[in-house]
Amino acid sequence: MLILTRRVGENVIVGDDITISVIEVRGDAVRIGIQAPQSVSVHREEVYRELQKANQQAAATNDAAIGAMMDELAADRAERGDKREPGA
Amino acid sequence: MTVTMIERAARQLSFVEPLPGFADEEFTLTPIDDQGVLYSLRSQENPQLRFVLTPAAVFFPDYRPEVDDAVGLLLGSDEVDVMLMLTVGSSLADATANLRAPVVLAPATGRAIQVVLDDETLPMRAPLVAAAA
Repeated sequence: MLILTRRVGENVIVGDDITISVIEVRGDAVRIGIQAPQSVSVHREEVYRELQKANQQAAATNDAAIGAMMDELAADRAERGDKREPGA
Repeated sequence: MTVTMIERAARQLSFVEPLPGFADEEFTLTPIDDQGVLYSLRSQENPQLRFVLTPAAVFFPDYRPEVDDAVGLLLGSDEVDVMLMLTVGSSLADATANLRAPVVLAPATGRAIQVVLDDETLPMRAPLVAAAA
């Protein structure tokens, strides 16, 4: 990891087309601006980590659970006397 | 960006960025039921990797995600479908949908991406059924 000190208004360039700017410092919080091509995703770390975890849990959904869910949805429809066309 | 109807046949999807937590990019999207509620998103590279998706409007008709126009550029089309990743533990009662990071796909190009929305109030695990009163 490259560690460097920047003042407000100064920038860091990553590769050819990513620029990180120090916008403002307030107390112990730093406001950072990131310019990157649309093809590069930028995330707050904790959000990204939570998303990874959420996706991993989603991938663990098993067939029995899906079957149970479909049965319940069908039962709900029957109860409501739902006569909508599929996909409506 | 216009949201279109989702087709009912199996189709191939190419993710322009891998799903966070995974490296797979090529998937097949297949309807599971005949009501257009549940879809299987199965990896072509690792067939044992399978996600369950639902069109956002089925369980969340008022959900109006703010999807950046840049997503249309990445997917090669402004006409997109918005689907949600489901996590089902054992049944509908404990099933949740990820409203914070929907899967956006373009039927015209077959490209898809999981977008992380800015709205921090959107949950990653929203129950499909309202809690009993």
